[in-house]
Amino acid sequence: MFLSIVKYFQGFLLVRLRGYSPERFLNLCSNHNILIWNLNSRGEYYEFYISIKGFRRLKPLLKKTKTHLTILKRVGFPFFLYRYRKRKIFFLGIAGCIAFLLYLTTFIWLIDINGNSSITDETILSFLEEKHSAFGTKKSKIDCEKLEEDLRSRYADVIWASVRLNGTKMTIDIQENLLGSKNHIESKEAMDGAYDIVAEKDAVISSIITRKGTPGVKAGDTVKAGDMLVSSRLDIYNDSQEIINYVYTCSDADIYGHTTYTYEDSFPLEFTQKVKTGETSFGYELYLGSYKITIPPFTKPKEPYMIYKENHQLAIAKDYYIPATIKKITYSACVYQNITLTKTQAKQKANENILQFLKKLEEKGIQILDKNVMIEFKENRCYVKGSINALEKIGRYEPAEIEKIHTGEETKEYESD
Amino acid sequence: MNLGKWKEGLVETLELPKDLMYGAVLVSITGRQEMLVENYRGILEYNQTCIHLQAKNCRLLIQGKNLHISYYTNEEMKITGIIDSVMYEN
Repeated sequence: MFLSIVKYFQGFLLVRLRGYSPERFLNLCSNHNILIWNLNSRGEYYEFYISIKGFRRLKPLLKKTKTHLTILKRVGFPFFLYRYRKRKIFFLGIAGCIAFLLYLTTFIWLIDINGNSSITDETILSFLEEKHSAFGTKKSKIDCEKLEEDLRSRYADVIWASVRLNGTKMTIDIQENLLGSKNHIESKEAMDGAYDIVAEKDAVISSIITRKGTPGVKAGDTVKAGDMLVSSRLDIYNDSQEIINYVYTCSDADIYGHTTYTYEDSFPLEFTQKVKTGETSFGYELYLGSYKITIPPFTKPKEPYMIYKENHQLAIAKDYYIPATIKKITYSACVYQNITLTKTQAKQKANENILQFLKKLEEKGIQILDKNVMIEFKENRCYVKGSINALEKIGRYEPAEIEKIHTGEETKEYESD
Repeated sequence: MNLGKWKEGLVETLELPKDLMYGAVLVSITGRQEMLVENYRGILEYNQTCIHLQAKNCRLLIQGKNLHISYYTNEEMKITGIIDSVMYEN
């Protein structure tokens, strides 16, 4: 396959050979390393294929063996060019098309954002717009390292960012600090100064392990949001058990508390729902830059219908996207259906909702201890109320107020030293 | 004579490839339709029913129908068609 493409681009001829000693001619060809293929004997003459390069070297051999060649067919790209040599606009068009595509590949046409959960794609896209690195920016103007730095400095939640350019695609990978807030900063050493730990929410302390600071509560205590849990102040006593100095530090502790979440949910037992009938029709939209071409569906969709749109960006090669998008629009015909839930169905639905809520809590690192849920039916609605007991890390860093005492004793001590 | 025997012994003991050492012709035939000849010297005669090849120390006569040379270079040639017989001549 590959060889035949090469042959096509170099051009070859089908020739007919006749004369006194064609065998001698063929042997000479092979001795001169002239490739001949598809050699056929047709009685008085031979027919074979030969490349243009080989053909040019044949002249002395023909003379020597007293044979004659007639060209039967010319195949290949050089002949194609020669045949259409007068169609200048055509060749100009091909060259222009290639040049245009090459020019387009120097821009960004697709932005792929991965790893973001709390920061939306739109936020990052508008950030890029602000940094003049959005869609359609020339690749040479984009400074990936600068963008990474800016991303990290702009959004505190982003703890790692990577910006890559592949073809016309920009890939942004970010890692968010999923644990959130200052409470869980990994590198405590980075925090200078005095910080207290205060309660984030109402809780009953279940365990407290203090590494630095003075604990203000013990296991079993009830705390309210904002209460001091660990103080950054260390009291320095002298021999007579009197406070002579305060030393402030950045407190560090693992504090777990029992917290209670209330859960409330209600939904109607009777509602209308759209149900697909299965009839679908398709329409297409083609976007070229900001220009839009609409191809409406062949059969007009019946009302009412649901619309589902799919975007496909066109690429000339992997990762070489061009600013053309095909949007496939699926119209699914549907009917309105009144649905009445039975009590068991309603209970099931309520359960599903609760499980989803619990899952969200668990994703935040909250341990669920037990749950108490009541389901009531009133006036054609289902009410769900419950409380959930959970175990979680409570505590938030807050800068400490620094008090200083200068007692006479302190100065005395210095003097005695 | 003596030199030829000595060379044969050397080739045998060193397990050298015989086609290289003797310049022997290599023929591989696939079914009845295809034949690959290597180490040949030249074509003596070629038409649709027979191909006569010259090798280093023998001649090769291939008879058949619709014989057709797919390609041939200095080193090898490929013959397609219906092969009836392959004969060695001195």
